[in-house]
Order: sequence, then C-alpha cells, then structure tokens
Amino acid sequence: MLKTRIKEYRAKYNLSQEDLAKKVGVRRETIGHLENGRYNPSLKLAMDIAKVFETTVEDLFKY
Amino acid sequence: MNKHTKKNPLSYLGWLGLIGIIGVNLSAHGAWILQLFLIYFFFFIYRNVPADELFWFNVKKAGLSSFILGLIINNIVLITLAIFESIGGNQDATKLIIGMFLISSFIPLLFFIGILMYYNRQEKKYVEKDNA
Repeated sequence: MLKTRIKEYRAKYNLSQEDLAKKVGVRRETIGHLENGRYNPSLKLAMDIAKVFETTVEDLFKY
Repeated sequence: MNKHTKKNPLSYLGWLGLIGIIGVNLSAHGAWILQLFLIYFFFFIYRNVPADELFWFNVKKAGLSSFILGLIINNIVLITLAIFESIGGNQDATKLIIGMFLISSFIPLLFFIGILMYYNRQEKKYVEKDNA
C-alpha cells in the first residue's frame, strides 16, 4: 500500500475530509481509506488530489 | 459529486425485485420460486450511495468471491445431479433439479450481498474510528 501525505496537506490547506471529497468527487470514506493507506487510488484520482494541493503525485504518495 | 462518481448503477438491480412481487401473487399457482427475486430489492439501498472508485473496488472484491463460490456450488450441483442420474433418477428428479438450480443461483447472490454489506460497514467503522 502507498503512504500518503494527504492528511498533512489537508491540514495545510485547512480542508476537512468532506471538503476534499467534494472537490475530487468521491465519498468521504474514500479519502479516509486513502489517508490510512487502506486503498490505492487510481492514477486519475491521485492526479486530481495532487491538483487540489498544487503539488505532484510523487510528492503526495510514497511507496 | 462529479468526475469519479456516477448515479449508482448497482441500484438498478433492485427493479428485479418486482418479479418477486409477481411471485407472491402467483404463489398459489406454483410460481413461488419467483418470490426469491424479492432479495433484489436490497440493491435499492445503494440508490443514494455515490458510486466512486472505492465503492466499485468493494463491488469487484465481493463479486470475485461470489463468482468463485458460484463455480464451486455449480460443480457440486452438477456432480450431485450426475450421481442421481447414474443411480437411476425417479419422478422427483424435476424437484431436485429445481432445488439445485435455486441453490446455485441464489446462494452466490446472498453471499455477494452479505460481503458488500460487510465492506460498507467496515468503511463506516473506519470513518468513525478516524473521527474518534
């Protein structure tokens, strides 16, 4: 599973899981699963999240 | 919801439940088997659940397990029917075939529903855990 910095970036951008979920068009549960490394996102979703945080996929997700 | 979610297509399976209502009305005429279609009404609970990629991931996992279970049950049913035939089946053969067909059709469906419910519960449990 991938390690992510989504939680860190959410705090930086002052976004809740719900806010981020709405921005990228998924459910809040999906963001929770991503943050805790229980689910690997599709490349499209990873890129959309990276776009919200104005960063790269490589920065957001670590193997 | 936008890009990654669509209107939940899984909920459309719920309409098959209407066949179950026909079965209830025709049960006196021997069409009781159709009542089993009432199970499909379960899928309406996903009507308001956005179908994002985690949802489909869970559907795929549940579908794979049910498919494998279906294969196993089908093989058992076929072997049972072959044995029954080889020892000289009698007039109860039709009942046996119908019973076996029901088992091989609806057990995987029930299993699929059960696993999907389990995954949904797990999702909610993790969200509550994250909030705590």
